[in-house]
Amino acid sequence: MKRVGLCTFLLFVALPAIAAAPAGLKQSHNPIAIGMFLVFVASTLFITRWAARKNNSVSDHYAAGGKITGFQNGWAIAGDYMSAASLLGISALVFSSGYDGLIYSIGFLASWPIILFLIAEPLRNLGRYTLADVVSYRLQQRPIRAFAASSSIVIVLLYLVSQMVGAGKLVELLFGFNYVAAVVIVGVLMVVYVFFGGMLATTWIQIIKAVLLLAGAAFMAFMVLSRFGFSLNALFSEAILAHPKHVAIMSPGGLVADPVSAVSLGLALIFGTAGLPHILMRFFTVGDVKAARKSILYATGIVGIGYALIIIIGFGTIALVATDPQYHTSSGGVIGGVNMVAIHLAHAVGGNVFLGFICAVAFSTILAVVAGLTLAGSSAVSHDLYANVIRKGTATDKEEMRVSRITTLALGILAILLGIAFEKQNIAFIVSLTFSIAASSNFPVLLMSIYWKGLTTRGAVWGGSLGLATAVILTILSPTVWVQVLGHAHAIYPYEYPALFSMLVAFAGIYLFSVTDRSAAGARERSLFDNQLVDCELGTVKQG
Amino acid sequence: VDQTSPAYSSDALNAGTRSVVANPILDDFRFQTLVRNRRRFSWSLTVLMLILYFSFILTLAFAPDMLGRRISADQPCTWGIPVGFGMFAITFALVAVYVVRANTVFDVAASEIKEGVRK
Repeated sequence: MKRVGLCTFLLFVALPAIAAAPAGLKQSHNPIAIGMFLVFVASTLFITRWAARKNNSVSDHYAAGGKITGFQNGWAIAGDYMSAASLLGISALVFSSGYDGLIYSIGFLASWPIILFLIAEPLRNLGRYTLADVVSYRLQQRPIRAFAASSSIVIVLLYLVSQMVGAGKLVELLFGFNYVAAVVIVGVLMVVYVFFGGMLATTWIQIIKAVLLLAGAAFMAFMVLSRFGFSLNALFSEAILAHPKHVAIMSPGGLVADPVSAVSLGLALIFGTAGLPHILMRFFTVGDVKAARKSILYATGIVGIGYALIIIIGFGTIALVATDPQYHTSSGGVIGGVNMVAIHLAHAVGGNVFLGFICAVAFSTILAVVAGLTLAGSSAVSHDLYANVIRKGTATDKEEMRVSRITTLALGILAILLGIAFEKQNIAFIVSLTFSIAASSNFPVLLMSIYWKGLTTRGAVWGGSLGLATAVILTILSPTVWVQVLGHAHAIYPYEYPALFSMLVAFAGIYLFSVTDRSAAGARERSLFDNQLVDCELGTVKQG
Repeated sequence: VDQTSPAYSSDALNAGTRSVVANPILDDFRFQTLVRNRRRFSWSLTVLMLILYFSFILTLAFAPDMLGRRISADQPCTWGIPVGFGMFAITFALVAVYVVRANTVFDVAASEIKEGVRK
């Protein structure tokens, strides 16, 4: 039955794609890119069919049965984490302002040691499928899971919107489909992967994407350097000549304008990752803490090399794309916008075939990220809200799995609708908002539940909710939304990013509402901390 | 010694079912040493990483010229380039240091404690 279902989906996905291609060509006709895209989609569906046969229990569906190796998980984390924004966004940032592109990539990478030192091992030892498993070890199940599931769903939905809009615009440009068709294709594919293949299919799609992305980036960086005799100085000299800002591209150029915004951005980047549900979920797919550590070692290496290559690619775009008229419109702008410079560079160094390959890589990048997000969102609903809040732990495996799949379907439809609704909106603030929320709600609650004996349910729910609310409100009042989106004259909150204040509010809230909690339940929760410490350190939780 | 870590099945998950009887391992000197050493190590590395990262960010915000200075007068490469790529390398190095120590020291200590309990 599953096979029939898949074939039907294959028709649903492939047919509109083929039908839309000749009709909706907006950009140049690119048969190689479309061909590679179809090859990629076909192979991911093949993987999904293989994974669907092994997807028989809740544990398989959420965590691939805990059978992923550290090496595989390292690649999958890299594939889950490096979105299209990494390849296209950071190279575009280097293209327009040079050195400043490094700031984001270093922040994105610096979060990994923090996750390793403080979060990964306790998470693996105390939890099974979601971060709420860890937080509710000694706190009250229902309020904690309701809170953690809600904040995780907010994060997942926001992140999904940004990915869907990006995907729609990208696929529109790369393959010539119209925007709505592109959004629908992405939405349907991600539902198919997660619905049938669960974590196993998601993992392998992320692994393949990471390998493709790294291989593509390495080839592009190699070809760029080969043009300059493998001398970075020669590349920089050419870039300085080509760029309108000239020598200023070699130094920081005020991307982070004031110290408060700089620190806020840094906090959101470095701690936000440690609160992203789709990232945390990856640590439940490995068998033990040793494998969890190994995954981070590999992931940090892969992501680090990936970003280093993307920086070289960025300088390559200045040297090779900025001055080449074939990549510019008659009015002088970059064809498809500045986010397309890495795609143009692929053409400049590798011709049409490599261009097609990079287009397929960019597309696979989006699919791997949205699949991870969908799985994290559906597990928050089915494992936390349904099985533990509504059914209080009495739901069977089968019922929980069914709710998880229904949620996957609902998330897919919601993502498509939101993607269409936000097509014309300025959503540049959404990614930083997502990281700010994660750093101010999930992360403080998770950290304190592991390390602070005094934490009670009241403190966790109040502190986490206040942190979330502060991050959202300050973002709305900031110049990016209040002035640029809503059109007011002056921003009420003067800084670009909220994390510095919203994290303070979260930690202060957790502390105050915990120490003033005089309830018997609160006392019990504090007394359970010592036993939690044993399970956290030794991994002695008996898994039922 | 009987291990009293609570059962973890989905119906035992709801609050109130976990045992508050203190786990005897808590009195084990080796366990206390492990917790102390591991916490000191992981928090020190965390603080080190945060200091490195925020010095970089604050240098960008307050003294961008420091990173914009050329390494040698006749080449365009600025100090910001090796510092930036060095941040990638240091990040990876810190991760590697932690993994090596956890694999060789902490895992051994943890399994010794668990072995001792089982006897």
